[in-house]
Amino acid sequence: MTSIPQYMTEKHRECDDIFTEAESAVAAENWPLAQQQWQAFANELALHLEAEESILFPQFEQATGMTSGPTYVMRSEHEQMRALVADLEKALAEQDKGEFLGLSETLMVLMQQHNMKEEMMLYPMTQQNIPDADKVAEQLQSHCQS
Amino acid sequence: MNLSGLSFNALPPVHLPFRFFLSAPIFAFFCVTILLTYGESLWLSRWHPAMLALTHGFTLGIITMVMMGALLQILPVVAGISFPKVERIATISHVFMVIGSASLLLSFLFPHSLIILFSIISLTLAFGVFIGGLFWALAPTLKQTFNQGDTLVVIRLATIALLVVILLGLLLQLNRFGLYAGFSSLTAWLPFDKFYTNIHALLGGFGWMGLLIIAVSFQVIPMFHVAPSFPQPVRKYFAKLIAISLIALLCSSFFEFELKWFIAVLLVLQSFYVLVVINVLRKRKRKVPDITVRYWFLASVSMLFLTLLYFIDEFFSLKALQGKQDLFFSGAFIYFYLLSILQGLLIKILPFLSYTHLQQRCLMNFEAMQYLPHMHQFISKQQANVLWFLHLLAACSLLIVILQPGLYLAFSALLTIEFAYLFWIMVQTVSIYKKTSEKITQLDS
Repeated sequence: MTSIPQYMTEKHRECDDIFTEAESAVAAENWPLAQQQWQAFANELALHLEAEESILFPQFEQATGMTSGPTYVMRSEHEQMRALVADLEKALAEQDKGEFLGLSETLMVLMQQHNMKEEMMLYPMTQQNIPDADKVAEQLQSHCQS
Repeated sequence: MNLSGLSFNALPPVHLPFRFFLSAPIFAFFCVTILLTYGESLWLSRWHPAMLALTHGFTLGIITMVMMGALLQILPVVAGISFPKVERIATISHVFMVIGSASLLLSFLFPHSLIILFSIISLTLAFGVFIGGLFWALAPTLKQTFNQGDTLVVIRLATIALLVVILLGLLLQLNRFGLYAGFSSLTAWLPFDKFYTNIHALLGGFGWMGLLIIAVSFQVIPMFHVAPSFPQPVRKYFAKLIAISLIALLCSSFFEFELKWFIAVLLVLQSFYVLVVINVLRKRKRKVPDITVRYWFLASVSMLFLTLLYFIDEFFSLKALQGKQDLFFSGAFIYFYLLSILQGLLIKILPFLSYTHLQQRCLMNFEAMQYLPHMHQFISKQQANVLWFLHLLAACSLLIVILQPGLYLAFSALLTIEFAYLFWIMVQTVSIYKKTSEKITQLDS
C-alpha cells in the first residue's frame, strides 16, 4: 500500500521530469516538442493541484481543525503557480525563448520550495492525522490517473 | 508531531541576509588596498602580517560573512525553523562582524594592543550572538525526523567546527595581546605557535566552510537542478568522516603524526565528495544552460587537480612550488573551490530570495502578482556569464601572482573588477526588489 507522502512525492518527481523536458525543448528551440511536453506538464500539474485542493486538504482540515494554516498557504501558492503557467503559455505561444526561460526558472523555484514544504511537513502531517489515510491515498491516485 | 511548532512562513526579513551579502565586496576592496600597499613583499611568506590580513579578509570578511547571511535563510527553507529574535541577532552579529573583521585585519597590519583588544571583543560578540542563536534554533530539531535531517546534522557539525575555529582564533589573538605573558606553564601546555594556527586554518577551511557547503549542497543541488538526491551513505556518513578527521587533527598535538598526513586525508575526502557532486550533477534532469552548474564543475574539477598536485608535490617536490606550497594550495582552495561555490550559489540565491519574499507578500494580494519580476529580470544570464569569466580570470591571476609576485597589479585589478561587478549585481537586485515591494505596498493601501 502506497502512503500519501510516497505517492504525492512520486507525483512531484513526475511533474519535474515533464517540466524539464519541456524546458529543454524550448532551450533547443524545438517548438513543436516544447508545445507537446508543456501540455503534458500543464495537465499533470492541474490534476495534482486539484487532487490536493479537493481531496487531501479538506480531509486534513477536517482532521486537525486547521483551516487557515499550512493548507491556506499551499492553496495560495497553487494560485500563484497557475498564474505563472498562464504567463508561460503566453511566452510559448509567442515562441519567446528568453521570457519563457526566465519564467520557467521562476516556476521551478516556486514549485521546488513549495514541494519541499509539502514533502517535509504537510504530507507526513496528513498521513499522521487523517483517520483513514490509506483510503485517501487511493482517492488521490484515482484522481491523478483520471 | 507538534503541528503548532511548524511554520510555513518562517523567512526572516530579506534585508537581513542582504546586509551580510552586501558587506562582502567591501572586504574584497579592503583586500585590494592591502595588495596595493604591500606589493611584492606580501607574497614572500604566508606568515607575513599583511598576508594574514589578506587571508582573513577573504575567509572572514567575504566567505564567512556570506555564509552567515545565507544561514539566516537556509534554516527556514530546509527545516521550517528560524533564528529566535532573528532581527536582533542578525543586526548585532552583522555590526560586530563588520567591525570585528575590519579591526582584525588592521590588527595584523598595525599590532597595537588596543586594536587587538577591539577585534577580540567585537568578534566575540559577533560570533557569540550568532552561534548562540544558531544552537538555539537547531536545538528543537534534535527531536525531529524530517527528510532534511541529514542536512541539519551536517549544519550542526559545521557550527561546532565554527565554534572551535573562533575559540582557537581568539586564544591566538589573546596571545598576541600579551595576556599569557608570565604564564609559562600555560604557554607550555598550549603552544601558541604556527601549529595551532595551522589547525585553526584547516578547521576553518574543511570544517566550518567545507562542511557547510556539503550541507547546503545536499538540498540545493537536487532542488535547483532537478538532480537525484545524494546517495544515502554519503548523506549519512560522509560529513561524520570529515568531522572525525578534524577531531583527530585537533588532538594531533598528542600524537607523532605530521600535519601533512591529515591534510592528505582531508583532501582525499574532499575529492571523493566532489566526485559525488559531479556524478549527481551529470544525472540532473534540468539541462538548460545554468551558470551555477558551471561554478560547481569549476570548483569540483579544481579540487581534484589541487589534490593531485598536492600528492605529486609530496612525492616529486615540484620546483615551481618550492617554498610556496602553503600559499599555492590554500589560495587555490579558497579561490577556486570555496569562492566559486559561494559565488555560484549567490547568483541563484539573490534572485531566489528576492522573488520568494515578494511572492510571500502576494499570498495576501493576488493582484500584486502582476508586478513580480521573473528570476532572470533580477540577474540576467549575460550578467551571470560575465561574472563567471571575471571570477575565473581573477582566480587564475591569484595562482600566477603566488608564483610570480611581480604581477600583483594584475591580480589587484582583476579582484577589484570581479567584486565591483558582483557588488553592482547585488545593488541592482536590491533595487529591483525595493521598487517591486513599493508597488505592492501601493496596491495594498
